[in-house]
Amino acid sequence: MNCKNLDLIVVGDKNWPGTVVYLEYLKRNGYKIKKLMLCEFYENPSFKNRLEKIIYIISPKIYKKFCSLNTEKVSSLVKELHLEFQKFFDFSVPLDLKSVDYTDLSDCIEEYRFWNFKDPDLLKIMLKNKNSFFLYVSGGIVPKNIFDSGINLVHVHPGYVPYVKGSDGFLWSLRERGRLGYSCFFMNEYIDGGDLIFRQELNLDDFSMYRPLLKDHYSEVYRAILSGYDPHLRAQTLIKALNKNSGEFTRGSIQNTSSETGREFFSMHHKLIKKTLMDYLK
Amino acid sequence: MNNNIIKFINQNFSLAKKRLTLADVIDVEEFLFSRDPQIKLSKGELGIFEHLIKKIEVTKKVYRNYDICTWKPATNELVRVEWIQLFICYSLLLYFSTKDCKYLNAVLKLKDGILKSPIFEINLKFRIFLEEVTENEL
Repeated sequence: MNCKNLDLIVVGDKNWPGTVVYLEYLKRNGYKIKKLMLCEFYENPSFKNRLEKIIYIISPKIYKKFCSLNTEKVSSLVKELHLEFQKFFDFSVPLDLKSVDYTDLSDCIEEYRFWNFKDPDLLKIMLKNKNSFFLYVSGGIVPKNIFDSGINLVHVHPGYVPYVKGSDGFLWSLRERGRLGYSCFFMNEYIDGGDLIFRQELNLDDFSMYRPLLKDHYSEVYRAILSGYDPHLRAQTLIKALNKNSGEFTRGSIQNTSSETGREFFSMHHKLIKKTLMDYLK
Repeated sequence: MNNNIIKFINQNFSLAKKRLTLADVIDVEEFLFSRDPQIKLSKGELGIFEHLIKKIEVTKKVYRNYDICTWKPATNELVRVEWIQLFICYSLLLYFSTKDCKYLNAVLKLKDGILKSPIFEINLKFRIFLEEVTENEL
C-alpha cells in the first residue's frame, strides 16, 4: 500500500488509548506520520513510597527520570465497557496498553517524560521541529507560550465549534444540539477557539442495551465512552479533515466561522452527567 | 415549579427595592437585592447574571464584588449565605424558564461548594427546598 507522508508529529500520551486509536486510523488510511512523541505525563506526582517523595524533594528532575507514574485504577466494569463500546468500530484498543507495539504504528518513535504541557522541556523539543504540525491527542489547556512560539498544534475537539467549546463536549453536544459534534482545528490560546479545518455532526449509536446500567453505574459508562467510543470518532474526524485537504494541513484550508457565535461550556456536574446520559443514551 | 421558587423567594427575602449603582465593581448582594423575581431580567441584568454563572461554574463560589471589566473578584470576601440562597433561586428560575442547563450546572456546583465550605451554615429550610427542586428535575 502506498503511504502518504505527513508532516505531522503526534504528541501521544502513552497511557491513553486514544493515542493508539489515532495512530491506527492514520495507518489504516495510508497516512505515515513524521514522528511519534510518546509521552508520559506526571500531572501530579504519585509518591508510591517515601523514597520517591524524598527524591522529588531533592530534585524533581531526577524524580521525573526514574520514579513511577500515577496510574489510574479502573474497575473491571469500565474495562469491559471500554471494549464493548468499540464494537461499533472496525477495531478495538484495550485500556491496558502494555501489550501495544508502537513500532507497528510509527517508524520514528521518541519516548519522553513530562510534568504536563507546561513542562519547558516539551516546548524545547517542539521548537526543534517548529515547521511541522503537531497533533495534540490529550485534553486540557495548552499554555499560551507554545502558541507564542509559533508552533502549529492540531486538535480534534468533541463538539461542533463554535457552538460547543470547552469541557465535557461530548455530553454538552448531546444536550445542546441533540447530536454529537467533532471539530478539527489549529489550536490557539483561546479555549477551542482556533482556525477550523473540518467539523461534522453525527448521530449517537444505539446504546439502548446499556441503559439499565445508568442508574447505578453512569460514571463507569461515561468513563468507558470517553476512553473507548469517543477516541474513534475523534480519529475519524481527523482522517476526514486530512482527506478533505488531500492529506495536508495548511492554513489555506480554514473554514470561515466568523459569523457564528458559540459558547464555552464548563465541566458538567455529576448529577447532570447522569441526567444527560439517561436522556440521550437510547 | 417557577411559582414555587417565586413563592419561596417572597417568603424568605425582602423585596424592598434599591437602586443598582453602576460602577466599575459590581456588588453582587446589591444586585440581587435590587431584583424583583416576578419581573423578567433586563438585557443588562441578564448579562451580569451570565458572567456570574460562568465564574461560579468554575470556582463554585460567589464573591461579594467583581470587577466589571475583567470579571475577576475585586475582593476576597464571599457573598453571605442568605444571598447565595437567593442567587440559587434566581438561577433555578432562569433554568426553568429557559431550560438552559448551564444554570442548573451552576446551581449544582454552587450547592456542592457551599456544602464543602467551612462557612457552611445554609439554613435547613433552604436545603430541603433545594433538594426537592433539584431532585424533582433530575
